[in-house]
Amino acid sequence: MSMLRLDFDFMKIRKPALTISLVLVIASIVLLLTRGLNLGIDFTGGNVIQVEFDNRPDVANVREVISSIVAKGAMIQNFGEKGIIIRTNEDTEESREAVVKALQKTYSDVKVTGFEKVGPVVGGELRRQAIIGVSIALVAILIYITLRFQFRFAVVSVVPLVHDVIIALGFFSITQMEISSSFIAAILTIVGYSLNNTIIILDRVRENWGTLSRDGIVNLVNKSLNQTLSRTINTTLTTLFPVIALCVWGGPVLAAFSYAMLVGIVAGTWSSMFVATGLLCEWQGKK
Amino acid sequence: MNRTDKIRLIVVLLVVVGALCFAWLERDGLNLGLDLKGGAHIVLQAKDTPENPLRDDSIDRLLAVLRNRIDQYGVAEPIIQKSGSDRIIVDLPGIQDPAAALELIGRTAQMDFREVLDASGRNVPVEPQRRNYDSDIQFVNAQERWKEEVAKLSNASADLIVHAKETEGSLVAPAEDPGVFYLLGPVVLSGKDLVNAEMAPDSLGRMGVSLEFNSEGARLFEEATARMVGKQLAIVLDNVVISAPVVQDRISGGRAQITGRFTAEEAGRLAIMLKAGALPVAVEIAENRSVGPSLGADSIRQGLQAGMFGAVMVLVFMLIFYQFRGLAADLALAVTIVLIFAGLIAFNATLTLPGIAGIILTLGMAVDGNVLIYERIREERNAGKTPMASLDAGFRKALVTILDSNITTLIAALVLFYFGSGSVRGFGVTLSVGLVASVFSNIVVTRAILQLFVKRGKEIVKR
Repeated sequence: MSMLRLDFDFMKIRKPALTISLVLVIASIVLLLTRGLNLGIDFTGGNVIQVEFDNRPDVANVREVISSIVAKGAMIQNFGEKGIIIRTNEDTEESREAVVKALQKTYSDVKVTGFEKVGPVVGGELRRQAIIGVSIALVAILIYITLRFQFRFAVVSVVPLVHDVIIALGFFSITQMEISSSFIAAILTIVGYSLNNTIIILDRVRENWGTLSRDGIVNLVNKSLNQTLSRTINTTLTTLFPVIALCVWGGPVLAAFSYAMLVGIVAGTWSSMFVATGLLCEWQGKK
Repeated sequence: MNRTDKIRLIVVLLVVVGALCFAWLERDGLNLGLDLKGGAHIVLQAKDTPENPLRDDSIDRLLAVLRNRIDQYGVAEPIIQKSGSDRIIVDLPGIQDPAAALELIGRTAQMDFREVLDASGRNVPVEPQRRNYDSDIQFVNAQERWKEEVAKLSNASADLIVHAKETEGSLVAPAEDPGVFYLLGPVVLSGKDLVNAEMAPDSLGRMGVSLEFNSEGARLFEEATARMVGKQLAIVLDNVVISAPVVQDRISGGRAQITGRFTAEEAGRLAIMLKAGALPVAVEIAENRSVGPSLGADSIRQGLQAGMFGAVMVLVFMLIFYQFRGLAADLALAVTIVLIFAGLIAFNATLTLPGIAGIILTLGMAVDGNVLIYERIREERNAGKTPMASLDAGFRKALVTILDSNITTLIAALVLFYFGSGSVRGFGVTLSVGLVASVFSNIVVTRAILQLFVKRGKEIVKR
């Protein structure tokens, strides 16, 4: 490995790569607008009840039992090995108690293992907090990179972040996995990770900047990408291992978080290698 | 070994041993979030009502009453704190019956004694059951009649409301039985004149609460009972009449007993609420999360499992790919984990489930620094430098990159800490601590280990 002189012409495919990214981003936005996201009660307000049975009945059976109490749109899913999770949009204590009573009447072996209720006010606040939080993080990062590098670098490193976040959201729109407050944590971690990757590549570009007039921007970027390639691969792998472990063994509570990270890391690696650099080539080339 | 290396090695040893000792001694100091150890997290929102407007001191008085109630109920290590200008967060770890706790803290518990002026007749008749009727038509007719009766009863309460307007300070309140309404006179005596309340069964063995008034309350109670012999005195809790006994005789001595349809638990809770006092303002449950201990234990087990598998994969990968430099990275990773836990304890942070995910993620990101450094060293070595010189240059050049990339992630983590709440905030803390710990391990710990090897004349980098 160490003797290998890496010399891939990554930037040769920058236009198809940028096109693929653009298509994915547009597709994600269309999905978000048409299909939307499956927002959890953290954002919408509502009740979630987790119950456990010795002999778990069918989801359809449970739906039958509580159908007279909760309005349509209750989500009922298996949870873990013995559990069932019920989500309703009604955000009152009474509605939860009624559901629990009905379950206890029908199933003698039911046990409530946990519940969550979020009122409508809190849900709205969380939505606002999430948007403000992510925006502030992006602006702060933009400022930091402008100070450390230059504005052009800052722009080409923030575009991939937006790209990764939109694609992760698009993934959640397709799969309709539920989005809870920990999803915000996942999104900001994706932002951090993707940026990490981009900065390391751009850092190398900056280091090689002296040869710009001799090499031209495309060769310069290619050289930087090849120099950092084994680091990119190794770090992507070492980060993917724990995330895959989380997806497989992390349990149902963390599932959405884990899959968001998985998609984010793949998208983040791609965008650092092709989107940030591709944009830099195009932009610099125009001048 | 030169001076700098010695100092570096000593610093590493001191930090590692110190962190290990600290984490070991204070291992009970690691706070687990409610999502891991089970418990109830309740957010109360104070309501501004015309009868009870929100004032500057309302929340502080509310806090005091809630503390009092929860202390008397006996919850270990509750957290009761203000959040914003009109909210209170109550965390009750490890409680078994979240519904009871909710009732205990969410209920206003305003108790009044009032004279009964009038009552709307009788109880709602029992709803007809299909099996008592021969045909569907009979059953439907019976249902119709029943509905008319219920409608009549609610009209009767409308009459009472008209009367209530004629008398100053009077009130129409429902009884616990559906359909029964009372027209009540002004407040004779209220819960604030209580000095004590205890759960006690009455002479018939029914559960009730015995009350003890202060001297002012005792005087008022005696006056009222003297005046009302033969009449009904209503005991009103949160505007519901829980009982309305007929006064047999004047009662002196400032003691009274209320009986309603309580279970022992309900009577016990009512006694606590009455003793701790009514909530100064009405509250609404804005958020209520409860995790049973078994669900929390599952989460911990799954988190640990994922963490172990993830860690093993990373450790093995580094060993295979970088051989004994990988070993140095693995040691540094172990130091990082120790530092994270010591840091969490030192900052008195709370470990939540997303926090565990944050630590697991940090495992992967932490070795990134090592990868960067090793790749740099390899480049320097390939450029023909001596092992020692390439080690030096590798660390120096990688340092800037490591700092840049970690500071940007740290910005995201701090934003999470600042704007997030609950478990997201916990994630922000773990991620921040993890970043700082891993940068230290990368730059200082790995360096100290590699420096030792190079000094022994080992070729640390294959050319």
